[in-house]
Amino acid sequence: MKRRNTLALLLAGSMSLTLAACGGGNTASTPTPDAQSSAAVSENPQSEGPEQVTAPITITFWHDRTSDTDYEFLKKSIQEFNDTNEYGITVEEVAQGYLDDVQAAIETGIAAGETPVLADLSCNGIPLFASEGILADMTPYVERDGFDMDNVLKELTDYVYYEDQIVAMPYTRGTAILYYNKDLYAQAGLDHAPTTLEELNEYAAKIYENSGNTIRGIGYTIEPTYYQHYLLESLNGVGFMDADGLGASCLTDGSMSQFLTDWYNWTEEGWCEIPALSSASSAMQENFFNGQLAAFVSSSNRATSISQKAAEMGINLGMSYTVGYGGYAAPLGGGSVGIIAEGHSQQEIAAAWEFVKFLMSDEQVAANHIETGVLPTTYSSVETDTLKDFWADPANEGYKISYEQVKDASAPAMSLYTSEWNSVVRTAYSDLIQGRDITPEQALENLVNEAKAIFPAA
Amino acid sequence: MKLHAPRTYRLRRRALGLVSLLFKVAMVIFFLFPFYWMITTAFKTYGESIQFPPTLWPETFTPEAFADVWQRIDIPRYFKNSLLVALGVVVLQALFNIPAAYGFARYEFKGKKWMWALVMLAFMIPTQITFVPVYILFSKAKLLGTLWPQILPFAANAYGIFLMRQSFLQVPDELVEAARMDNASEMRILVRIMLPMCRSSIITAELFSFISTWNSYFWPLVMTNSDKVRPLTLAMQRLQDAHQGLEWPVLMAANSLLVLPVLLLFLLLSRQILSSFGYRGIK
Repeated sequence: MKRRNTLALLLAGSMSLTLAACGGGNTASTPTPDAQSSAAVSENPQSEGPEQVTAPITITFWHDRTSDTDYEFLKKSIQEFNDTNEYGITVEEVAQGYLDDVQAAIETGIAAGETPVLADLSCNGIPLFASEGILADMTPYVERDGFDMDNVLKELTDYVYYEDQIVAMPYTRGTAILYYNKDLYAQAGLDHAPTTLEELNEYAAKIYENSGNTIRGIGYTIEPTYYQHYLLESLNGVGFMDADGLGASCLTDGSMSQFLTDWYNWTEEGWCEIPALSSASSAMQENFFNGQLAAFVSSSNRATSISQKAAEMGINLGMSYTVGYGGYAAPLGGGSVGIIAEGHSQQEIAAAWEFVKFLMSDEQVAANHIETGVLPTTYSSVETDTLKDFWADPANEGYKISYEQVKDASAPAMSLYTSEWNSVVRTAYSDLIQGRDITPEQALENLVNEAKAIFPAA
Repeated sequence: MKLHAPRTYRLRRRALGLVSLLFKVAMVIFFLFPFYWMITTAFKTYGESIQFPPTLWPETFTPEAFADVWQRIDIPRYFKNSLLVALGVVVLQALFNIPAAYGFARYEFKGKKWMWALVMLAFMIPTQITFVPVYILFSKAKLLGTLWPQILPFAANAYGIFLMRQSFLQVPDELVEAARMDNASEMRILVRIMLPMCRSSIITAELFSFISTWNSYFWPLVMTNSDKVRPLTLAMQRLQDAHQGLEWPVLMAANSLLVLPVLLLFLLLSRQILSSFGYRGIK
């Protein structure tokens, strides 16, 4: 009988575990953000102003820097901070995939009260988190430590301020570069880097024709807030979203219509590569290294990696300013580091600020640029001998270009609607360019309908 | 006609045998080729790995990718995590699934049908919908920084219970009754009669659990926020940055290391797995 009871108990136990794994036995409720915030605030009242770190502390940093060069640099950077900071702060990094994955992980983490105090955030995430009060205002720390905000590149402060708060610092910001095969373009008759989209397209078509329709002249992956944004911006002055972030006049001013038609025709004629359905950026690079693609646009953050691979493959790599309709134009992208206030004590926030300050030091900014290709984010770092010497080397021309073209670069407006609009536009581009099952007119019509549902002003 | 009949029969049998052999060879190639491709790519240079048309055998045979993987990720730590989680799940499932399956197969008790229906229901619920509630549960229990969120939710498994129950049902009642008449306890019957007779099914169920836990990606991705407790599958993600360009030799070297334990286990236990899918009638 005893044995039977034991078996019955085990049976009951296993059933409850089975159901728990399948969601049947879980009635846990989500902790409310208010409760977490008040707990954090009551521990260290805000009214006393920003604290210094008073005891050794460990903080977590979620990031997207998973590639070889990025991750190597990040590890080195964190090690240096952990070894040298005077407060005994230890930063632990956790890779969360791409920037969108970091955002998704934070959203899940917020529901469970498990968030990092530091995170590398995309232009989609910053406005969403800032509007919810999830990001810490760094202003008191900036003022306390006399951190010079005027030293931060003006063009890179687009996602720094939210209302009157400093909610992020540019960290892995990048602009795009036109990576091109110098030999192929020279054979087509272009002995200099293209200066307008029209010139680029003309020679891209020639390369395709001269190669017997085997080598495509140019390729873009689908990145509505990045590559396609700057092409639209060169047409309408604002890109894929209005400056106030409350609408998309590109849908009605003819710029989106022209761009959709052009891009569709370029791919239809064959000289512009249709991006692959998965890992498009990687596939495009592989075609470039194989000599099947003459040029592509990609982030300056990949300059180091692309240069190394081009050298290995014997490609005569050229790096140049990206071009839009009528002249130079460039996108701005990448991530900014934000401090997550919700659920964290003032000590953790203070420690996070120390790390942010460290990342913004001239040495770190310069090293970040040299070792990974991300943009230098401060004016003073550009004046260091380290960067000057690096840029003086002709082999590092592309890195300098990325910095120089920042003045021509733009990112979409900071808006609560960026994330959703980005997703809708991406689908339209994909249906048109990759799926090829709708016409440019239908793509535009779809976007107009979606915009009505997304934007309040539409 | 009568004289020719056996010859025609033999010829037909040979032709069928040949077709069968060709089909088997084709299937073997079909299933083995991805492994062959993975291993050979792991020994290629980056340039050769993206070359078109591709090479079937590395022109420059180099183990550099394996060294690269070893250098870029802390293999022993992630391997240990994966192993602990997979073994933890297997051990707990053996503890819970076997008695549960035995109970359902051999006992009549109040509410049995309803309880079995609940197990079947759990079988059908997609794991994905449990992500958030289970995450919050472990967060409240302050267990997110440990390996438990990867182990405990899988301590019992509806599929395993189902598979083992079916196996226990195949054991003739007479054997169990004979053991009872010899005063064998229930635990003794389970351990000395049922388990040996159903060994193949149990090993298969446990092996499937091991493989599925070992290969698990999304569950640990959601349930872990620290590299200290992440398994090998998540570490591999670090090597896969599509924006930077996929480095196929490195990825394939990492995948070769990832599948090695599973392949070894399968080779060791393949006979048990095959026999578990065959009906063993006893009259």
